[in-house]
Amino acid sequence: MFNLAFRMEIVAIVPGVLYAIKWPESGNHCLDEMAERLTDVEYLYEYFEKNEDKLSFYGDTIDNAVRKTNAEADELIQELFNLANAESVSTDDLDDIFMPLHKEEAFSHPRFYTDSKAKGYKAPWVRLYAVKCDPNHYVITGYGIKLVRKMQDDQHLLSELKKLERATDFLKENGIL
Amino acid sequence: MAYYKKQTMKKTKGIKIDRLQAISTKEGADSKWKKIAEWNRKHKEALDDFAVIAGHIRKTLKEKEWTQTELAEKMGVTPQALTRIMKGRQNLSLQTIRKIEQVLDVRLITVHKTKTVKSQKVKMVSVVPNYEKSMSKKYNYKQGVDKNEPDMKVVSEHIEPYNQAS
Repeated sequence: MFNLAFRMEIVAIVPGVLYAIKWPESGNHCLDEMAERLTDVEYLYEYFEKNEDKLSFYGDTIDNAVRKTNAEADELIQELFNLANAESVSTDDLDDIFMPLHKEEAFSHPRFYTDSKAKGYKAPWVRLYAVKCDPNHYVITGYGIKLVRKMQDDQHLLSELKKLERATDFLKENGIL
Repeated sequence: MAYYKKQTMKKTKGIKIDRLQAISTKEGADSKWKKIAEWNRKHKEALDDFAVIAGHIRKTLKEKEWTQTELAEKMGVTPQALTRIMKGRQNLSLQTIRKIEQVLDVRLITVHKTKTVKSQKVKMVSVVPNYEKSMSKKYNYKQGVDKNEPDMKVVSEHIEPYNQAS
């Protein structure tokens, strides 16, 4: 059987510390894709126009949601950019950024992580998802705008959960986990 | 015994991370996320304004039932240039903004201008640090005017997004 994982690529973002997966079905690795989409005002308008019903919980307008997402995504990118340009990465830099996914979402899977909700925002919703290989070693598998309580309540986030599982399998096959 | 177990575990961990390093590819010079991070950093102060302006253009196009291609043609710019504006990834000059306003017949930003006026008992607005202090000293020394009642209003000018001004 043809194995999709065969064509999965891992790109070193901060060598020895942070990696991102380039999925076979995508032209870019997932951090590139996240940066490109979540700071693209046009894409964000289209996204929130489609998901306007999910915004009602936050009481936000589409205009505000676009600006908020744009700012949150930029904050996250800047944080990783600083890390990539740092002369040395301390042992807990990434452990400060990522936190375990909620048990309800990750089925108690201890290696599924998400970025620690962007600081300075009341209800941050931009997420990066990653598999933790070791302390301070992460592989980013995807991203999302989490407007729902559980990842399972959103089709895109559900696919992100599946990506986390696929990435875990791939890392196990390669003797990394 | 525990020491050796710990050392073996450490060694295994190291091998696993080496494997991760070995199967990974190095990020190329065309790294998109780094380019976006750099661009955003360079235009940090205006990023939100670019998003607000793009939102206004989008709304106006919908109201007028125009396509982006039509707007680009009317503005005399390439569709690619307009796409950058719509994505919030164009450093907009005041001239470009005025051009968009002209074609769409809307106001996107307002420039407030306050003329220099002579008046009695106008409270001074300081736009330069220590300006009020230095002016007060000047008046006291040369004209003997009460430092609490300067007779000039400082010229000020500032730009703000249309939605905040209205």
